[in-house]
Amino acid sequence: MSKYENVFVVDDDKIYRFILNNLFRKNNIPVRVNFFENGFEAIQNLKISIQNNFAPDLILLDLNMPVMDGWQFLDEFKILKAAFNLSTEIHLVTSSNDILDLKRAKVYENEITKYYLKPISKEDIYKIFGQ
Amino acid sequence: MKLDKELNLLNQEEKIEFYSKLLSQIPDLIFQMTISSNGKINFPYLSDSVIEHFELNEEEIEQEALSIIADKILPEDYLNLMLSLESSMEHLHNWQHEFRCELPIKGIRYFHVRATVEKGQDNSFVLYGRVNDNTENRIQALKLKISEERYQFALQASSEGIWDLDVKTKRVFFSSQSMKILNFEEKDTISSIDKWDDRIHPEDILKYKKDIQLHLDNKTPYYKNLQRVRTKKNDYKWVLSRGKIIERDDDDNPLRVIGTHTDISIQIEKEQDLNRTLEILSEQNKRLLNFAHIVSHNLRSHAGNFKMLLDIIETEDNPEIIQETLTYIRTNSDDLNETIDNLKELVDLQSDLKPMKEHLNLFQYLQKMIVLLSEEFVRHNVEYSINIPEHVTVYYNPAYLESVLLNFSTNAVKYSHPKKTPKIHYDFSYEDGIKTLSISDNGLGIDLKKHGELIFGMYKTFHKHPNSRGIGLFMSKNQIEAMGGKVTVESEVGEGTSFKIYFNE
Repeated sequence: MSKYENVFVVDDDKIYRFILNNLFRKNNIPVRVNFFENGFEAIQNLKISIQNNFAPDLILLDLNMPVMDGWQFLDEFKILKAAFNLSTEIHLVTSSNDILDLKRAKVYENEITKYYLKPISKEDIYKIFGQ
Repeated sequence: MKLDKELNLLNQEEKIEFYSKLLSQIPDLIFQMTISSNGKINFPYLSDSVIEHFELNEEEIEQEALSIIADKILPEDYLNLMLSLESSMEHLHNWQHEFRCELPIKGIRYFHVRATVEKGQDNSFVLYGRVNDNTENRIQALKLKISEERYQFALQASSEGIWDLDVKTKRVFFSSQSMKILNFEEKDTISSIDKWDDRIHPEDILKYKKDIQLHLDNKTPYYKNLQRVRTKKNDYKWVLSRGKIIERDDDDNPLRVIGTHTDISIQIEKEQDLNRTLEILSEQNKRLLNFAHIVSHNLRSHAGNFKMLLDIIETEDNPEIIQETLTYIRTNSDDLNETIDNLKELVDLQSDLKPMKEHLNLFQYLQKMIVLLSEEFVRHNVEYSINIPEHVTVYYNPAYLESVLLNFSTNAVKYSHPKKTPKIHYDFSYEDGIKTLSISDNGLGIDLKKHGELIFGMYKTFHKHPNSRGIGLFMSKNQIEAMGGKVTVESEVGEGTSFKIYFNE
């Protein structure tokens, strides 16, 4: 059994999405994964899933994306979380090791539960999904 | 006079007593000297001081005065003494001369002789006069001279100038060194205080007036001010001026202030050089850190992807998935190459500390760039207007100027509004005296409230465009800043974007 069942992955890196998909498949992690290329797509779909009463329990979020980046997504997410009393957790998965980004992440400590630095490994996946 | 008349009443004897009493009160040697027509010198009268003056012993007192005294006079002075005597007799002038004697106890002494010369009978001469020991005065004068010479030498040897202000008349003595600092003739000068004050740099004058006033008001123990002073050659020197009130009137008002001028231009220049070096170093250090960060940030994900993709190939049996993985390895490799190219470009920019600058005609460079882009402009039906005076030049690196103009222009085309004819305006202006070029478009625009300062960040992209690399604005900003300028942006989503390039001139 996995800790999470319904997962959103928000990242514009195709290779990362392919690798993640393979990790889930290879390690038989029984999760439902939705991939989004940027924050905007993710927010739109999050709203739909809330309406359908099927909000994700985990969002793996990158910071640096076109159209709407991770921070902007977090701002929108904050509002939704408060409005709908969401229990959705967010893990940052990003290649940014910029101190400024780490500091900024502190502002969202109510939303962000973990911070992972890319590349994500098999061990990271085990840790997240508790296998 | 009355007294004279009374004296005349005295008889001869009484007169002699009176005069001898008077003479005994005078330390000088009083004498009467006669010179006969054949040159023979006699002393009909010599006051008793002669014994003390010339340290005569008992034997000598009995002998003929001239030969005894002549013996004591230094040989080299004797001739001159006789020559001056001769000259005085010839012109009947008062005789005045100084000579040295070597005495048994007191050693070398300076004597000063003064006498009136009268013509006697038969071409003879009579002199009445006195001799005084002038040695102490001579020594004092010599000491003063030596100390004066030392002071003059000290003034000349040091680079410090001396000034001496008469507060009431506002006149100042400036020593030759003070004049030299300002490249004037090296000569002590007395002039109005304005001669110096009018040359103080406008930015320094207020502080100078304040500093000196504080001291004149007795609020500071001494006066000290660093000032730039214009020289005769019309350049400025850094002068440290220091002084102190040395004389006050009975009401404690300052009368005289003496001080120094020190030219510390060299120290100040060294200091400024050092600060510039420090600035460059810290700027370099900042760039280095930033660059290290960019490198690790950008290479990490590619390296990680390679590892993970190879892991998949090693453990996967499904040939289709292996094939797909290989495609991703190819993509990842291409991305990595592009990243490295970008980083190399950045290294070139950062390591080129002082890129070659030339005076470039802005209008011509823009024309050249538009020719390069003509094909793309035609393809997108771009309309453009150029409002740059033809003579305007900017002091820039040619490659940077080309790259900056090209980048902002291609951006305007790349992010044009799909429902509008793309329009680009190039407008030149002076903003606060700084040459400025604005490049405005009517394209998609950027939400600056959301993206703000990030828009010039590396690998930040704001539109879903296949050629959006997120490197252009980052490079342009770096190039503009390397030239000492800055770039600002105004934008509204759906309306367009306007970049302003400041050339720092």
